[in-house]
Amino acid sequence: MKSLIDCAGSVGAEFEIYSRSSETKSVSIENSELKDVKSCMSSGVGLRLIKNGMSGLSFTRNLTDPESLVKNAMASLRAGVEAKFTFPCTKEYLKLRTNSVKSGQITSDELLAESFRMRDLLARKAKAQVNAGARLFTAEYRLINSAGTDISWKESSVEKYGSLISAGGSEYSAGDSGFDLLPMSDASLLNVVRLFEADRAEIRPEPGKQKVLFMPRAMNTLLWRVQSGANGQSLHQKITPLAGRIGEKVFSDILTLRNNPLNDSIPGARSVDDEGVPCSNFPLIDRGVFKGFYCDLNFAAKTGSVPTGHGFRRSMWGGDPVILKPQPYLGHLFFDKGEKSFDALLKEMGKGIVVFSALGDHTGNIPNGDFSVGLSLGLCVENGRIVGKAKDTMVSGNIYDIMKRAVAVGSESEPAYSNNPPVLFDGVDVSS
Amino acid sequence: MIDKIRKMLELVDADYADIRYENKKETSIWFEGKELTRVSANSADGYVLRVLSKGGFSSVAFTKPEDAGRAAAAALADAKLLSRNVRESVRLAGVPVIKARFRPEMSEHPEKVSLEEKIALTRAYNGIPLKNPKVITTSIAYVETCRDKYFASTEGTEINEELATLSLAGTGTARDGALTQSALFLTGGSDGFSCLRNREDYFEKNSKFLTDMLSAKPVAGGVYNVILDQGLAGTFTHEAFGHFSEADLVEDMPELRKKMSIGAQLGSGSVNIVDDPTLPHQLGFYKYDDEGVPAKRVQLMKNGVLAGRLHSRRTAAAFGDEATGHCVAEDYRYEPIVRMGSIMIEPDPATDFEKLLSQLGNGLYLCGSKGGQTSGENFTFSAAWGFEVKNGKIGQMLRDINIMGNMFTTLKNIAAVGNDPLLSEFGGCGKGQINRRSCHGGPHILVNSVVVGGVK
Repeated sequence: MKSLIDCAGSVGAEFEIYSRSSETKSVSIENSELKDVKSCMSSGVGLRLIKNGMSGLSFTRNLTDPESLVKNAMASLRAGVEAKFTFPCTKEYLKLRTNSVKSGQITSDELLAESFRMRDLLARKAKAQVNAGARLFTAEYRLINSAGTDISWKESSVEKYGSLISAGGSEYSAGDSGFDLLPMSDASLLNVVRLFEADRAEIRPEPGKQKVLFMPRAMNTLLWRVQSGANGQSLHQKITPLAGRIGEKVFSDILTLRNNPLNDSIPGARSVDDEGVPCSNFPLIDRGVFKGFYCDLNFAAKTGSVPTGHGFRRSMWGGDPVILKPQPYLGHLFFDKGEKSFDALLKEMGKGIVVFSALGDHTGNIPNGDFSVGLSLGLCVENGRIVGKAKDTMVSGNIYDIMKRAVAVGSESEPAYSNNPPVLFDGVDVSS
Repeated sequence: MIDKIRKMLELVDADYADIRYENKKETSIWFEGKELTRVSANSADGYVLRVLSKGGFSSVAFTKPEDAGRAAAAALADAKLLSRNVRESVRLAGVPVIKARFRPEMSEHPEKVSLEEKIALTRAYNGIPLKNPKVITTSIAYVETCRDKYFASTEGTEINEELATLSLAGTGTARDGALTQSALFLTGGSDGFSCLRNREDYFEKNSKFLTDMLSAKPVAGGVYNVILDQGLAGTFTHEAFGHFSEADLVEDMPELRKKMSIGAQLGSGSVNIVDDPTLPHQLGFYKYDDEGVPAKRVQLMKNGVLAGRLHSRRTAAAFGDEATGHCVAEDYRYEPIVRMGSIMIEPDPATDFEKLLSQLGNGLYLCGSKGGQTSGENFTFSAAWGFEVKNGKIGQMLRDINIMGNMFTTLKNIAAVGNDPLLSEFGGCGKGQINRRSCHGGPHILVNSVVVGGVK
């Protein structure tokens, strides 16, 4: 690393070095049988340079030739990509819990034992195809720049899931995420069984406007559109309906939506972003009012605002952080919890649809806020009770319309889905 | 390199092992609006080792050659863990031992074109939609990946194959008042840089559709008979049917596997579907898959009857079939999985587009795929734009179109198949890994009773 720092420093440019070394172990069970056990060991270094108002980037998997890495970045820089920002000097930042020292000792045998336990519990309770699995991720990161930032951090997470698959292929699942390998709660798994029981009848719901409850796993249908609208990049590109609306009430006042990377009760917490800018508990929507755009260094400079600590080497689909360049990204976006349990939300709904998972949430006119998704798992509710599975059903709308008609927020959030609670909306278009 | 990876295989004491090393060169050029936002040309490399020991089959991906010993130990331990816990031991279908170095014929190798010329071409195509003041931004990228792959197995197979995949693709966004619309531009392929030259007409045509959508009306939700254009027919074939032709997806879904029995009448008599990675110069072309197996054309459906499946060596043995050469990885970071190559509905020479319109009578004509997704038997996909059809005549343009359906019902509802097949130039199937060479297509097809989302 020292030779790369020396080499990057010798070309008269500002530099930023991002290094990542990670390991994963995973096991998966399909149809009650062990399907796969596999491992991955990956490392890489990403380099960004800024010189004379231009930026360049390069990456490598093996830092055996620092000169070539710098040469590649200089060639990229000469192509003419403008940079109006400089790298920050960050010396002070919050110390958060991002890993467990014990996680490095977790074995594939232990992941398998927990997966078998989840499988056995589900298989005892329901006659169905059972899938289960667990994945351990550990990583070490270092971010160094020419302004004096030098930050290292470790990350660990253990993700687990247990699913029942219906005859038609619909998946009823519970997910869990933590720093260590702890058993998934029986209550979560038993809730999967309870929902699966409702799969006995298939119902084609009446077309028209209905109350629709979006569960945490389906929340991307709505949140991807909010992320597009509140993105500093969308502001720069003049494609956001939220331009000029900071301080305006755009959603129902029961909705507060924030991005909080500082929440270290779940894995993935961050005190600085991938550019070294400190993160914050950032409210996008506060009781219905739009509070502001989120930016990385690049788009903060382009839109004349300040960087908000949202420059991450991520894309909508995840991606490889060594290869990607930082861009505005919300990785910890969730609604503040409300007060109603799942059963209370069903009662409030009376009649409507519960969307557990959506198909095609990545398609359609996302910048405009439009969505039109098929239900891979949607349940019909009548008189406050689940009566069957929604057959060949789509729900459609525009977030800037339906978010004004949110009527209740659930009290139970799911860590595996950024701690989001369910949210109930009135007047959502249903086609079937 | 073959010698180097063969030595790594010697670290493993198992019934079978193979290793793949890849050096992947990637060049990206991005424009957002008029602005050049990324130019990079890099190479990155890594290894995937697979081990079969006493019926347990596992894999490990690693990037540092000095980790080979640790990776071999991890793969062997994982294979043994599998071996102790699987009910049925994994077997691999027999395949011929191959020693080959293969370079596909390309009309113009992209590495012979300068970075400056690639930037200039991307800038030129990006500028076409931006000529219209209603187009407020674009996000258009040139992406070139050249995978130089080396494969060796303990059976003696040694293959070096290079695959170059190009795309010049992205979105344009237009605005009129509060209404924003976007359209995709998708050019590319595996036939070298010439597939990107002289494509101004394509960018002009899609730019016009983009701005025309600002005066289109939103589709009304409901159930319609529809004609799908070649892009959407391909998306349907890939998303709704193709994934369940992949043996690794269907093998652990007992209900679906029962329904997907070879010989089952799943579609209407007019539906014939093939997957053919051997079609030269097409996006989905390759000679050997990432298990070192020669790619084969597979007839998946004949006159509506299920006729075949796509296999890896493992699934072929489990199903009692022959390996088909469809086990493919995204790159050096992943183990190979069963993937489609070039999947398509075969054309009916007797049915032209006018005949399809006449047969439709009243309904929708839906064009251009904007992606799709499946879950179990159900699928959803999005059309770029569409048109009302009344009395067999194409009418008003429509926007915001998403359709959903059940695979089995929809296959039976295919009422007619046209005579004008086209294959896609741009891939990106995301079955856990991205397959940039995933190619699909077909002719126009007429489908009855499709659920369309939207305001009633």
